[in-house]
Amino acid sequence: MRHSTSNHSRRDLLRYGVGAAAAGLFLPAFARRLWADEAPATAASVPGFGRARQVVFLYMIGGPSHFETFDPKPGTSQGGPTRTLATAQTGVHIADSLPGLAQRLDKIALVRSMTSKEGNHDRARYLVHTGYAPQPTVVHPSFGAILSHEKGQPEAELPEFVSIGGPGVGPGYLGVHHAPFVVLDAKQPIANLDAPAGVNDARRDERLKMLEKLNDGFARTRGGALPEAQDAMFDKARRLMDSAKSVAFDIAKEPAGSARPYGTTRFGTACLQARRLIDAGVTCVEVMMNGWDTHDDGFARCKALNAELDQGASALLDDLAASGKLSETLVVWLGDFGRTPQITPSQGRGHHPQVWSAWFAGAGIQGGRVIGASDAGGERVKERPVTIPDLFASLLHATGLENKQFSSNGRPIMLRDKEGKVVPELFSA
Amino acid sequence: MHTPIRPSHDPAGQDRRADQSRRPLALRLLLALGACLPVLALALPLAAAPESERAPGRDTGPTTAALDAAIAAHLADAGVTPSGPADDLEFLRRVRLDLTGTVPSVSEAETFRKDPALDKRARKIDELLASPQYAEFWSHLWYRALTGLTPNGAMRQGEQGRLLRGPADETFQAWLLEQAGSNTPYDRFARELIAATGRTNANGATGFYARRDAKPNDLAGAVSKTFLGVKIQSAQCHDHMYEPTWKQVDFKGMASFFVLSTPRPIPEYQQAYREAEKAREARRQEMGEAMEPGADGPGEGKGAGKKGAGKPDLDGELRRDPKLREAFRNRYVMDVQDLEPRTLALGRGRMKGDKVPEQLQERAELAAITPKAWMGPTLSDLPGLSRRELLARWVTSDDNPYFAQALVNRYWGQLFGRGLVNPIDDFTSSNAPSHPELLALLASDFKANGYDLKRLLRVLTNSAAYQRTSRWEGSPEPDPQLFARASVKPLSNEQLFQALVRATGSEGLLDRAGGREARGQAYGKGKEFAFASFSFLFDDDEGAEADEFAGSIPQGLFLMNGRMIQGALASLPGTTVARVLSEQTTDAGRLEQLYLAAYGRSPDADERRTALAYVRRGQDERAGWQDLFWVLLNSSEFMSNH
Repeated sequence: MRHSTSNHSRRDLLRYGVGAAAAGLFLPAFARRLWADEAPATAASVPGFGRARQVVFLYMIGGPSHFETFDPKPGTSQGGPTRTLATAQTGVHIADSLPGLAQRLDKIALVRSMTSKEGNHDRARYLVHTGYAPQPTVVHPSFGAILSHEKGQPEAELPEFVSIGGPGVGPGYLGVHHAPFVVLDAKQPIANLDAPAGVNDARRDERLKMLEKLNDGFARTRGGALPEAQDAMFDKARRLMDSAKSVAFDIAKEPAGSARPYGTTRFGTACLQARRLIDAGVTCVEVMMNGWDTHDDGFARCKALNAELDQGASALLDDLAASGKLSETLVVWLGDFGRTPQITPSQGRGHHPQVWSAWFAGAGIQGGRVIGASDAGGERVKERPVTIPDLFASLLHATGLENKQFSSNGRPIMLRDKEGKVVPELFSA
Repeated sequence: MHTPIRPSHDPAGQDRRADQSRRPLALRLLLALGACLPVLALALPLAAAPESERAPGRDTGPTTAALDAAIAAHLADAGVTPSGPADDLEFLRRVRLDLTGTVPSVSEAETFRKDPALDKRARKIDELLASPQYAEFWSHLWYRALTGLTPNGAMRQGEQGRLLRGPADETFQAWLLEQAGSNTPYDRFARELIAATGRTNANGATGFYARRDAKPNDLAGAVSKTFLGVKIQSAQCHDHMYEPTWKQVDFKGMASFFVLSTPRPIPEYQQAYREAEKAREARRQEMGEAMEPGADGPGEGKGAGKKGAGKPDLDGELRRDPKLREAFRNRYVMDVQDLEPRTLALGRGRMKGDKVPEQLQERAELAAITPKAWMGPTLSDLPGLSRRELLARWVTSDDNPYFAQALVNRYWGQLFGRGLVNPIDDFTSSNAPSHPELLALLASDFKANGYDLKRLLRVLTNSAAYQRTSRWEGSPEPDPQLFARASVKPLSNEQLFQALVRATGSEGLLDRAGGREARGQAYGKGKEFAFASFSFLFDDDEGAEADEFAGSIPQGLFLMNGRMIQGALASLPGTTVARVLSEQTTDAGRLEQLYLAAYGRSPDADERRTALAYVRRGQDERAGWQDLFWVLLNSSEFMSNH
């Protein structure tokens, strides 16, 4: 160490990392873990515990129609004109505009019996991201924020949680350190990543050094909490600026040959960026795809959306499989809710949380399997309902996290709803 | 009816409070004084004098003195000597940020420092309370408290819920601004919010209701949290784990006040919307392209990124047609009405996409429950009064002890960094107030003076406790709940933005960027836009309670590299750096001005030496001054109110 003990600044603590002490220091006090919940009973009995080190969410904003994607009902009055395609799972058919994913269904565990109670976009999005319905008195963290909090490394150069294509859902009571790093468009450079003209590294570091000096003076008479949090913020921002890994955000650096399979759509390029970020070690990447709220003209629109989805998601699964990353990366596809069996006069469908589809691939997941079923009309769950609390139990299981009690403004709160049960069928022995 | 949940019944709270009989004489005297305060206030001849003739601080003097005596008694009990008084400039920056949300300008600081008047602090407080910036800032605080959202945080459109979009939100904000400016008595303010009826684009008070999308459970939770200081939502699904008296059945009793209220679509708006949709569809067919999907229409301002290259910009085109634009914007405007009790015509006025059967079931179940105020009596339906009016009457009645206490505690927390009950909306048996007699005294003074919010702020800001220095030297810092020194509060995102704009002198830059001059509003167009993107980065997701700073990476990048600060440092005309470098020719003059702009104070001798050495470290002196100002703006002293 360069400094004597008495000269240790807050910044040095950060830089050299003093293990648990440093990690605890920068958590907001209200988010500090109080104690662990009951022992993870399912950890031993259900396989797949902790197999996922990283997670990719493919989130369909607006609520994708299960009829037009992964749970088509051809030949019924509710099914509409959507045609189907045989898949890599014998006897399982999905919409014919998803040929790439149909071929890869042997890697995918498809759940056709998701069910929830929120039919309003904002509330549903909150529910699916946090595992809880919105409440006026507490803001829950999204799963990406939970991963950032539980798995994040104080020394990480890249953000732990990146959300591409939408604003993401925030960290709630876990605090802004675990907010998603938002990339609105994968094709655009990261905002404010480059130093302004004339401010080279040396000048910037001199500024930060002088800032530290002033903050030390402030801390002497006014307490160190704010200076410490500020130092941590600038340190992380500077680490990202200086990191060679930040090139992971720059999809223009991808060789043309390996970029091509993703296509040039917003979703495709976002999938490419997600793959680069996973390769670079980011813990959780969410890709949000807009446009699924198909009240009107749903069949044509879903076809177009499917083309984009199919290309991007297939390329992502292929790349992760080829690099071996897929064995430790969980990929999850879902959206706000499903859509009504009734077809509107304008050829669309309304919101329908009673039954919808989601799929899982990668780390610990048993591919080539359909879990649960909707009824013949696609209106209700016919067998094996999977609730959002079940989803969160399974996500925590897959990533090796126990349910815990946190405290938000002094009130106890569980990381996930205790009612949820892990879905064992998702996992391979 | 429940026994009221008061800390005095709570054994756990006992050890936090001194036993009554052992209290020092001063405190006992004070309690006696508190009891006759309302009488004292009425007896003071100056209390009724017109605003212009009133000597600043005189009418609130006795209450302020009682406040300080209460704080002093606890300090004495704990054997703690509080910090000394803040100097004039420390006080000025603090009160400016607290009452108007921004820092003093350089000239304001200089004038205030020179003013020899003995009552200049009380005068400054009155001046700030009368300013339009006070109304603007405190209406925003109320918007946050009532919605959990940042006003004008335009990047987060849609989050406010379906019913509080566009015109409803604008009307709500305008209403709050008007209430803050005219200092509406708090009981009336609360009554109007709880029982508001009418169109959401005509009666802004409906915004509180609209924010919760008319959901009874959410409204029950929000009313209790905001106006009674309790978070009862945890009793929604089961009896509360730690509050034995919080029963699920009581939560439902509270929710049943809202079950008879319905937002109804307005036929002419719905008609206009359908026609607009048709026009849009026709135009789309004409363009003959596969529309980018999007169900909300062009009024929602989410066009960014949706226009594929080379595709005709249908939404943009429609947005330019004022009639269509209005039709889309008014789509969610509702008429909020209360049904007659016991005529449960439920389901009327519901909207596409709602899950009718389950919602209806839930509503019918709630409607069957007799409404019962939280911690209060069962209320019977009265002819001619809606259930929400019943509730509003009880919440704001003098018989309800929680209403005034919750508000007084909220304002205390806002100014002192933590509540007397802390967190401010957690009045429970296990969370006793640190100064129960002070809370009671402030609440009764507030009631006795017609729920006058500005008066309460005068009581608080004129106190010695508020006007102490935040510096603490030597011994380890005492329990912050003793209020032995002024608190250090991280700036809220709005304060930080306003402070950055004022300190850097970028007001003009932002207005020019917006393409027009500010039209007498605190927010010019350019500034509004800048704030929208700023709040996108700096919003904390935690509603109004965030009392800790925790910076994110994008915030750090914004502050280090962002255009807003770079532009302000780049010596553009009108900015602080440009002005100081051209007007001031001496080092001392420049340092003085930059410190006044950022910190609202002068540098001391040590700081001058360190700063000058830093400015002169390189070849380029101008760059050195810019660097110094950057450092000041990013320092903890700038980014907090202290």
